[in-house]
Amino acid sequence: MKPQGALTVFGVSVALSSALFLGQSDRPFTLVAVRFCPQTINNGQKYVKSYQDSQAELNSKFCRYEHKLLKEVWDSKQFESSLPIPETSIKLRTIPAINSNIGWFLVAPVSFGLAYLSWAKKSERDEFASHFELENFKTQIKLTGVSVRNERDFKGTSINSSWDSQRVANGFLSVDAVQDRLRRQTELQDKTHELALKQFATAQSQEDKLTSENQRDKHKADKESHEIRALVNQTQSAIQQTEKKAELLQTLKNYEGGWLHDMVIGRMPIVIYGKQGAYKSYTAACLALLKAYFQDAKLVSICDPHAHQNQDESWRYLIPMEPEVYGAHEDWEEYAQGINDAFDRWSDRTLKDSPIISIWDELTTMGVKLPGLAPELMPKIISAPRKANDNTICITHSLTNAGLGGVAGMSEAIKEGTLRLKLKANALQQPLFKGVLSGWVDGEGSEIDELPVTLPEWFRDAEIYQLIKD
Amino acid sequence: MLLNDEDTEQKSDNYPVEADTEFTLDEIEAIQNYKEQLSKKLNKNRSVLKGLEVGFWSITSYSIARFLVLTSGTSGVGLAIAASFLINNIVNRDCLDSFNFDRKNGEFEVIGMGKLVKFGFSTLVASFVIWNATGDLLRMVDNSKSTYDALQNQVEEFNKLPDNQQRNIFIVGGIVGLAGVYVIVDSLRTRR
Repeated sequence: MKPQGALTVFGVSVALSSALFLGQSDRPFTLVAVRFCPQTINNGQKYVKSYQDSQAELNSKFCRYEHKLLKEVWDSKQFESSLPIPETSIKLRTIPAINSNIGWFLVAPVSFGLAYLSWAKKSERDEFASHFELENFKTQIKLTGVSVRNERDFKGTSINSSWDSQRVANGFLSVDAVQDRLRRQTELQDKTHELALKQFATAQSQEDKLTSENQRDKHKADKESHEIRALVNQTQSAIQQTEKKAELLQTLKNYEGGWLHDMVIGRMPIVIYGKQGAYKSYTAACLALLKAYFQDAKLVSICDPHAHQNQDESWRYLIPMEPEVYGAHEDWEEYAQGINDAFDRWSDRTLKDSPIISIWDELTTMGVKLPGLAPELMPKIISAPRKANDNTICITHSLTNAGLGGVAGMSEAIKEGTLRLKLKANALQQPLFKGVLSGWVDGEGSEIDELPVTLPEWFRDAEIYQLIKD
Repeated sequence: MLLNDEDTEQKSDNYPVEADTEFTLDEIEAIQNYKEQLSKKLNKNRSVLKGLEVGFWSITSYSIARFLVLTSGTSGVGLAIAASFLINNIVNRDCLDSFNFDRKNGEFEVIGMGKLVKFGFSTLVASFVIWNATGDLLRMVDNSKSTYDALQNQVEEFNKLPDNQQRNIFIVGGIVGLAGVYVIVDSLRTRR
């Protein structure tokens, strides 16, 4: 017997003997033996018996009987009774309990529990052992089976060979016939081998074909999937763009009566003027970015004698739009070429052509440097670009004839045909982002001159570029 | 459990099924016979374990009940009964949980009736255990109360006058009473 089994038997034995024998007692409870022994009051008076006789009679009648009962019941009854049995008339004898070792009743469950755990452990081990035993049995079966089958084959072949020898020896079979059979068997084996190889090759080529077809289908499916995904992304992007554009447009409309909106969406030539450092060029850049965004207009030219300096400053977000830049490094001949190219554009283009943007900087100096060509520019700007669908933005220092390229007699035409935004700077040539707008017509159709305006905080080239770049 | 259920591998969805080594039909038969023998042995183990479990709870119930009765007397009887039934409930807690009485598609459906019957039997066993642990004390308490009452009756009987003396007093008292009535009635008639 394994140790766990023995421990189980031992535990059960201890538990049973503890609970049923060692813990038991013949008299487990304390008893009392009570005898009722009343005292006689006869004491030799007249007409009565003597004390001894009377007492003997009473004892004979009552005191010789002993009543046994549980001490616990006796005590409680005596306590509860309103008329307890008088202690003077009874003889009480306590019969103590025979002490049983009640501790055995605590030993019994523990012992039985240990027995149970031992048997559980034994069962667990047996489970494991049975598994290994079964696997070993299968291994033995396999080994024996393989060995015996090989032995049978070997013996069968040996016997066949022996009988062939006997047949040859007795003339039932010729050596040639045996050799011929052997040759044919070999030939058959070779053919079988070749056929098997071909079958393998065929199967392999079929697998290769299947793999190629699968790869082709996969590529096709991937391509279709990418196309669909791209289309979905494009649609989503377009929806987002539309929503964003509408939101920004609404912001422009809501800002100070909508003058910014009209400057961005409208095609009226814009003249920005003011002192140095008044944020003129940056404002022109912001307007060009917004016009390009909302009108889908292309920035075609920037005529600026300081373009080589401004390309990393005010024009930094415009240069990526690849405009023709004229006049950099104060090259006035090139500036003049820019003017001539604009004249050609305005004469060729119509309203049906897609919108474009052109920026003209330093008109004040232009009048001095190009005295022959400059006076022609402003009248053209007032009349021609609208029909050529061109958004022109001019930048100058003052709104005088000299400041507009030396043009003469155009003040009324300029007043009617341009939006003029004067921007202010402080004494340190720092922008105040405030100005005065003239030539604007409000929503009611009233022409407003000298409307005080401010540039919103987000009206900065970097922020606008971030807003519209996607 | 591994050898008890032949379809264990198929039922365990968490584990992939792997084919065993190939055997001939005779070999498979031999393996199955061997497996059955092993299963019988393991089933015997499980039966003994179940029996030991029942025995453990029974002897625990009896021991606790007896311990309480011996140490606390009659005041331990209630606790002993409670302890035994509590253990019975702990051991068979799944029985009542499994029992379900429901009405489905107009028909009554009883689920887990077998376990309820098992619970009933185990409660019966618990009752026997309780009686064995507390029965002798309860019997002695009952007898002791009867004995006390008899003793008290005897004392009261002794304190009374004997029966024949009581009868004499009753007769004399009756005669004296009748005489008194006669005297009163006679004196009233004489006055008229």
